[in-house]
Amino acid sequence: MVTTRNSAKLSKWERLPVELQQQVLGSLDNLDRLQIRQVSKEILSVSENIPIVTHSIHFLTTPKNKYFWLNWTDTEGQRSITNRKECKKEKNGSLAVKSLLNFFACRFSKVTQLQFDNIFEIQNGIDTLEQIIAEARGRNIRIRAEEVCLNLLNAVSAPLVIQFFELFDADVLKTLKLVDPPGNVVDAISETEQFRSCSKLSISSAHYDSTPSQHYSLRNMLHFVDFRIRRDQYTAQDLFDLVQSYRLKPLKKGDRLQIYHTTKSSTEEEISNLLDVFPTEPNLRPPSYRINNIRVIFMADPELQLLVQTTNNGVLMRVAERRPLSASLLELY
Amino acid sequence: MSCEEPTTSPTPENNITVVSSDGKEFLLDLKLTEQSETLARLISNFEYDRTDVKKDPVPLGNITSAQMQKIIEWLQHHRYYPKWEQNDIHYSTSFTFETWVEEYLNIPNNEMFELLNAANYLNIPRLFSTICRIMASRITGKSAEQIRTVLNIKTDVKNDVYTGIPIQEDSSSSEDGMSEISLSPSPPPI
Repeated sequence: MVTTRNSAKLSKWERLPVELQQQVLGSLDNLDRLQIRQVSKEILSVSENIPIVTHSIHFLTTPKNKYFWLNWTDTEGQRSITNRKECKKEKNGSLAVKSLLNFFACRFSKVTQLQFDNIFEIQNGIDTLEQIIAEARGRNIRIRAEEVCLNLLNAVSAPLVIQFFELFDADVLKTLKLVDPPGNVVDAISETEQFRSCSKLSISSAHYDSTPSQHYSLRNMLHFVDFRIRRDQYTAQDLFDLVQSYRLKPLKKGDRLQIYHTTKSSTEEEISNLLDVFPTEPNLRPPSYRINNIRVIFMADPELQLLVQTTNNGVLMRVAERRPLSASLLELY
Repeated sequence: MSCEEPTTSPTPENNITVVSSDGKEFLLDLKLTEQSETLARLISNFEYDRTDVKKDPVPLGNITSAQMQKIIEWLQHHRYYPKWEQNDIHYSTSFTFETWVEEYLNIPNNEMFELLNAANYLNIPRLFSTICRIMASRITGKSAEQIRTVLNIKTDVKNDVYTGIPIQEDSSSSEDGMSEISLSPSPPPI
């Protein structure tokens, strides 16, 4: 095996039929496909229908929030390109907006992870967001990202967040990672098709010590098969609804739900009484281990079981493969 | 990847005749035609794989004798290769080639373009993909400016009216073309 002489030229390229030019350019990797669009208007025209599927796009800002720019990373995460230099020259944010939307202008282009930094935290971030919404609507562009990570700290306008969420292609979006979202904003976006179609949710905090705890309505999250959420309060009824929803879902081993850093607005007894309604089977661990209050609840799928653990500051539910207890363990019960 | 090539000579029972655009006839082993989806479909439709069916010469009006010679060389080299898989990662993502392929495609660009056309017409996916990747390998990893050099694009720089991104305006592009392009996706500059 040898590597071809990549210094050789392709003169008379223009003689190649457009369909064959597209096939050649389609042999390039995703970042090269981004690159070739800058070569000439002719090449741009030829390549605009060649889809780009890249691993991540990061929409980020400078430390002093002077301007926004983008960083694209390939599937292996080993190569990335950026337009920071060009965005720095332009400064009003429109180049970053156009670059982002141009990527999705080809309806076959898709990104695995799309991350927005503190776009809601600063005024020019809000302005940039409004530009994205207006331009995407004007050009009828949908953002095709499988996972979006969005810092919602200081996002006070729920309608603006909803409008932004509605730009995403609900058929593609599967995972939401929200950082410091206000409770009212999460409640608002939970009504969107995009939120309802997601299967995974993570709500975390980048400013754990300085931001107030939020309350999220768990009843809006029963459709998720996998989520981690930081929440200030839950009731026994919330927990009952979650367990009931979870045990009936078509889940698989390893799916999990985690609520952490919580406080309970119900007593242990109230929680225990409600959870006792569910049919349980003996814990795989010996009874002496039950200080963690792990319940092993039957699921609709007879091959699976739901492990529900409640602690002072959290709830963990995990789907596990159902395994019969050994005779020696059964004797302990 | 390489395969041993036993020598076989076509006999009337196991070959067909194809005729190039300049009238030259080539005796082609049916085993070789399996690599060309166009020829394989034709042989199947006319039942040329049966010994009791009379085989008329197949005219290939888009392919010259020189190109046909080159294609037969490819088909013979790959005679015992496993069947082509469209998504074979070995072929679809690699810019590394066998020495034989390197030498085979060490030809002027216009000949390579014609060969790509012929591979497309005869639907020989392994050859088609290989030429595409050989050509793409001359572009990959290069900056826009370097790609312009590779493709010999000599143009004036203008700002795209829609994106504001500096972009090369082809000398052949019209103003109408600009307006159309302005609505098309444009990448971020590097």
